Amino acid sequence: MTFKRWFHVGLVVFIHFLQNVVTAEWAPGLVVFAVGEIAGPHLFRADHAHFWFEDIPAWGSIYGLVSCLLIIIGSKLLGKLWLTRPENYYDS
Amino acid sequence: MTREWIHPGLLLIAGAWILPFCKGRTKRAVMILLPAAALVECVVMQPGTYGVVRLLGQEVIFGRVDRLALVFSYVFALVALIGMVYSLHVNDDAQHVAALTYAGAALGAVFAGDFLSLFLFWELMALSAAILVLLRRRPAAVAAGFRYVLVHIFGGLCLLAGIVLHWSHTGSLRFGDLSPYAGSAAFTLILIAFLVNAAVPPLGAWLPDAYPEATATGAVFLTAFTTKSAVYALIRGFAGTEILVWWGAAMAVYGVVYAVLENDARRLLAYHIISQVGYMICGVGLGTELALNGATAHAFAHILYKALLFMGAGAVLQVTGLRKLSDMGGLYKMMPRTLSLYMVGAFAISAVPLFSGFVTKSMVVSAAGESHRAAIYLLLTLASSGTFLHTGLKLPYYMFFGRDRGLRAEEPPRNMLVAMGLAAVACVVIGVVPVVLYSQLPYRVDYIPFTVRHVTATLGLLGFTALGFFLLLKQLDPEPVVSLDTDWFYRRGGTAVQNFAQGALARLEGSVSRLSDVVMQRFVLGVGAQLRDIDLRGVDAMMVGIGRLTEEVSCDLTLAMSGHVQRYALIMAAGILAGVALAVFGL
Repeated sequence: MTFKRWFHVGLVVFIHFLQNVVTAEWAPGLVVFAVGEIAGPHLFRADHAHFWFEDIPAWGSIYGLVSCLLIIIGSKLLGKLWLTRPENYYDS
Repeated sequence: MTREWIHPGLLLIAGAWILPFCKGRTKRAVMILLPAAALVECVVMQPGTYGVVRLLGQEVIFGRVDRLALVFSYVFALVALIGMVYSLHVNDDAQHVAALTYAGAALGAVFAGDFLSLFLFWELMALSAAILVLLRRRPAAVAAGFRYVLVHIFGGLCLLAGIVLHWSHTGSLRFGDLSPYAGSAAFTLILIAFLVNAAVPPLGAWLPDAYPEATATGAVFLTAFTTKSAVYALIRGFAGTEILVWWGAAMAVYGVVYAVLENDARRLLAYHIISQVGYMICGVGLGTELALNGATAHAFAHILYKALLFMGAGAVLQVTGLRKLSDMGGLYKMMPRTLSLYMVGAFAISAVPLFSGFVTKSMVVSAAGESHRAAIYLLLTLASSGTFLHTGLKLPYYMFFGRDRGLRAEEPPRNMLVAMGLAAVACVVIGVVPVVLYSQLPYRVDYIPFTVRHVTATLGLLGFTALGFFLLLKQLDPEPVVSLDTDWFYRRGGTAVQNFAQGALARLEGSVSRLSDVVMQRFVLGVGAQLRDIDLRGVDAMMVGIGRLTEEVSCDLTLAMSGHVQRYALIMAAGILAGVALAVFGL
């Protein structure tokens, strides 16, 4: 019974968390991620990088944002110019 | 060496036929017991060679059991079990039989030690998968099912041709590393057959075409077996094939690009299968121990989280009847458990730390790093960001949050939630205690996923991908469109050929006939007239001339022909005299 109650509490908290994610009010909090990424390797013993660009401060954060924008804009352009057709394209 | 051995695949294939004769609880019990028994059998199986049969003078090996085959067999049997739990409520024996046959065929392909048995199970897999699509029994599903068969017949023929060529060259049907034969026709044909099943573009459009058309429960099985058994076959036969490195990386990005444009929830997930299989193909191409371990581990984790994601989307389809993101929204209030379980799968595929994707995908990416391939490393990381963007953000946003459309929905049947729960537990266990999986991989694993750099960089990547998503949210609103893929060639290619025949080709034919008219009228008729003139003037005149000449000569001759015998005798005498004179004086 206790387990079931905890399960429900967990579910409510998780959904609440996801709802907060959806409202995007957390965006300033991302600074923590970037700072964590910059500071992390200095605070703990860091493993060695494969490439020079991995040593750029906050490399993951920068590349994540760039990748995301590139993918959305690139794909949408590709879709508009070439790939998309009306939904009944194959039925007509 | 042949020992007592029951093939777990044959157990499923034969056992499936018990189902139509059972009812109610017994049937449900058999549905669970069969894959559970297969799983137990795989787990207790020891490496070795089993089930060797001599056929047509060849050794057919049904049970080549080694570490690589075993790890794939564990996950195949496990997902078969999860899939059967998910379909417990479905009252359609045909679907269950097809699904169990499909799982059994996949196990058969994994344990096949020679090409003959591999081909047998390969074809059985294609057939049973097509039946799973057809059994949705809608016109669109039937059409997609037949297209599926069409593509896989092509792949099967390539495989058969490759096998026959390989046999005629080497005299052996053993299925092992094919790299010594690189460049030969057999090598290429078998590679193409495997790439068709692995859904590698441009040969992979069948996947997003067929999978979203299958039943909610059938799709769970489909996501697991065909592509991953192809990955297994590639690891076995084509490890270290350079072209696969680039092909795999391109494939990872390709799936992500198409996912941006996609509106159908399960088709979006299907494109992410292609993207994720891209990592595995890339790992096969890299060919190092870390890369092959990574490809294997990623296939293992992928089967579980992708099944979970498809189960989530299938649950929504089951409850609401909706499949398009543009029709959904606000479901989180009615389906919080489905959402939570789906999100576990989404975090796993997005490689969030402590979920399974994080410990498996990074092996392939690190292998690219260790091989000093910066471009591959960057492409795979970019695709990683795209994966989170779609499966972790876009799909749940539009499906469960987004605009509340006032849909009426409820949680799906309990067995579906239990199945999703099982898969979710597996995703988290692998993510938290990766050694569970690492200890089963074909090579020894020294890789440590939880390093400071890896964890912080991944969190940064994911966090800022989310930022990008919300910055461009307006751009991502699902649109009611379809995207062209290479299936266009066999879906619209025929119509295009017809249009071409009616349009361009008809115009060309018109031009040709006009041209021929001109040639006929101006040239041929002109030449004909000239020839007639020549005939009239030249040939006829000549004939008349010859006739007249003959007539005159014969008139002259008539004078000589008087009819008097004396004159003839005189002429003959003159002739003889002339002859004698010629003889006497000439000599």
